[in-house]
Amino acid sequence: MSTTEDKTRKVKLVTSDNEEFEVDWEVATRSVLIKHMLEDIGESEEQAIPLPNVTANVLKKVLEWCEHHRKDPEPAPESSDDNRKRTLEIGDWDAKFIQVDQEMLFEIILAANYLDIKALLDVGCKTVANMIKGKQPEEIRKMFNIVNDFTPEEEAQIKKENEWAEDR
Amino acid sequence: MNSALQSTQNSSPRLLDADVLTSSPEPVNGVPDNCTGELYRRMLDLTYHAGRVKMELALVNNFAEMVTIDAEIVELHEPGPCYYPDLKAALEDMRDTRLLVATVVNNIDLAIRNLESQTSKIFIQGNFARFPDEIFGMIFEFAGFGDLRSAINISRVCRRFRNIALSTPLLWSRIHLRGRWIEEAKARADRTRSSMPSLSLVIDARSGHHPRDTLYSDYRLVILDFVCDHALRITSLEMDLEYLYDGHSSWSEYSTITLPYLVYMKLSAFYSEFSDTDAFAQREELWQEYRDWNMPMLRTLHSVNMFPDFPANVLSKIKTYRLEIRKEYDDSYLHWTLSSLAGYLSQMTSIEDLTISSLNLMDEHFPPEDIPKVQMVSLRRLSLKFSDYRKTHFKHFFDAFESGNLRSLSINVPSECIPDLEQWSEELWNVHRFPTLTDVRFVIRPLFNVGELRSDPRLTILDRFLAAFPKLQDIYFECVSDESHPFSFSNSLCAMHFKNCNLLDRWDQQWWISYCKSAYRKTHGEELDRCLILDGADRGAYGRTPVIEKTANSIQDINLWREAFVE
Repeated sequence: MSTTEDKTRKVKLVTSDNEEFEVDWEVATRSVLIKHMLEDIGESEEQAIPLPNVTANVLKKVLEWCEHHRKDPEPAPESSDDNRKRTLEIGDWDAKFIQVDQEMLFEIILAANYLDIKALLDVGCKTVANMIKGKQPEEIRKMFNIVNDFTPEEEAQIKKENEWAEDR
Repeated sequence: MNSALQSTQNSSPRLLDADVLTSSPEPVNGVPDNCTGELYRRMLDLTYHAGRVKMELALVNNFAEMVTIDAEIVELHEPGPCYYPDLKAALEDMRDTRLLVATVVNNIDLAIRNLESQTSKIFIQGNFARFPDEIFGMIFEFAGFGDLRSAINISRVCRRFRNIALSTPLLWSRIHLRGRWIEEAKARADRTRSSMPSLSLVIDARSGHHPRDTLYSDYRLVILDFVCDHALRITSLEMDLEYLYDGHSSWSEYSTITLPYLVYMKLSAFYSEFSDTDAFAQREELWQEYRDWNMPMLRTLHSVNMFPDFPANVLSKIKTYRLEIRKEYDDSYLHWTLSSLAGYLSQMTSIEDLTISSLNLMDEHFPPEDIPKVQMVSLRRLSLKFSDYRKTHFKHFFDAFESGNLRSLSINVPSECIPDLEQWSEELWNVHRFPTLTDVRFVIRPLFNVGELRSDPRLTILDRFLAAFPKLQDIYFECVSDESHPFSFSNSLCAMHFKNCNLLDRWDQQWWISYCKSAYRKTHGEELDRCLILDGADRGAYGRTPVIEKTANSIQDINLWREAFVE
């Protein structure tokens, strides 16, 4: 539970390329990783949080998302994940936010995973899911440059396993 | 930069010496074999020309600045008419240049789009496969949930994708049990065999299949066998009771199933009677063997056109109940009375969340009788959708229940209620009845023939709720726009959402309402279905522009609202 003091507190974050960001506590703690690190260091405001897996340009983008969602309620517990997975819809603001080039999308997903920002990770994963949904295996292989490493026997077996679905 | 060309170019960024272009391409150390030949030559052209454009434009910009400076200096010397031709020529040159620059910008945009597309594609090919398995697992859950075809396609891409997909239970755990596709169900269940209890079963009739067909009777047995076989893994079960009823046998051997992990159950009927003379009289053509199933974890119940006939020890543990009553014209597919409904709900002594849609307020559901008030002390959230509106029955309905611990109230009612809002809103919804209410959602649906609107629903609902509930935190209100229309009908819906209203004093709240009123009218006839969201937590910021950018639907929306407010 955050206190009033927490909400006015500033947090320093240092990226892998040594750029320092000073952000509101409420914004920084959208990241569970940062929240836990802040709990570990206690009241020491001067101590910067190192983020060795995130570069400045990616963190800037991630913080833009955190700033927009700073007042969102805490993420639902794991038990409600099933419902969360049922939709590929992305909110209007998030949809615009995630309109970035593929390199940035890739970095945002990795950063959200590392920083443990579940809602942002969902937005990124949904974006990639929309890219592969409804595509044939060969199209997915081509998209990700993946080699088909099944042996002919394995492919035959897999095809047989899925025969029941072929006439749908 | 991980370019095949990079190792050949250590000089100025991506700009090659012109000699390179004229010499024959030689294999270069570190450059892959496939980077030789035509592609290699074209790539050199591309990088050379891109660098050249950048360099030349920098030069052009320098000259443009010089022209500006030159023109200012010339002006200081106050040139006479004899210099007119020279000035005119310079002016024409600059105008031509501007046209040229516009063409250049257009060509640059085209090149950028093409290069972005190519780099994206190549980046995906080179990097996305580096995602850890856990991230791919999440992506597959989104792509394949409820989409078996996508789930299968993903599992056929490569060994790694197959392993990830097969170890993602959510892809395979929701199973539709529909007759001849039982093999699909078995295959899905097999794929999640090693996982924790997580099977979600749906047993429903497929359109066009007559439920009394002998063939389908066999399928029903297969389906019920499947339920028995997987009883230890089922957490969610949806059953169409008419589909399961075969008209001949009760299949009593299926009346003793134990589902130890079942937490959610949905039971559906096309039509059923539920009278207060015999509270548990269900229609005969419904399969009823489920009634004695042992379901110790069942907490969430959803029923369609019926009241599931469970014993009291099951109903008393239900935390969430959703009753869905479908209707055609004025005829509900569930025949109920207020007394029978209250009697059924009174057995749910632990209920926290109740949703009923859609309640028909016709006279037949409200026979003249006195019914004891139902105490629902555990109820926290109540959501009601009324399919029609009758003043007396509407009030009668609310008077039948007492839920003093309610936190969240959602009401969806047709616009026929508007003329009465002024009169009874305070009587129905006040702090004595709901002392702990913090969230309200009030939707007034447009209907034809509303008649003349005497009261303003915005002022009535918003003001009354804000005044009556000092602890109210959140109120959402949606209503048809109130401008006159030939048929008393408007296709313009407007909505407003006040967050953290408890952080504002009454003056500020009334300020909100008065400004919302003008904004409401301002936007009528423009875009449909907009929602204005104001947040009391941003009190210091709203001043003259109380619209919070992040909550508006689009930039256009923000500007529209702002215009309304600034005026």
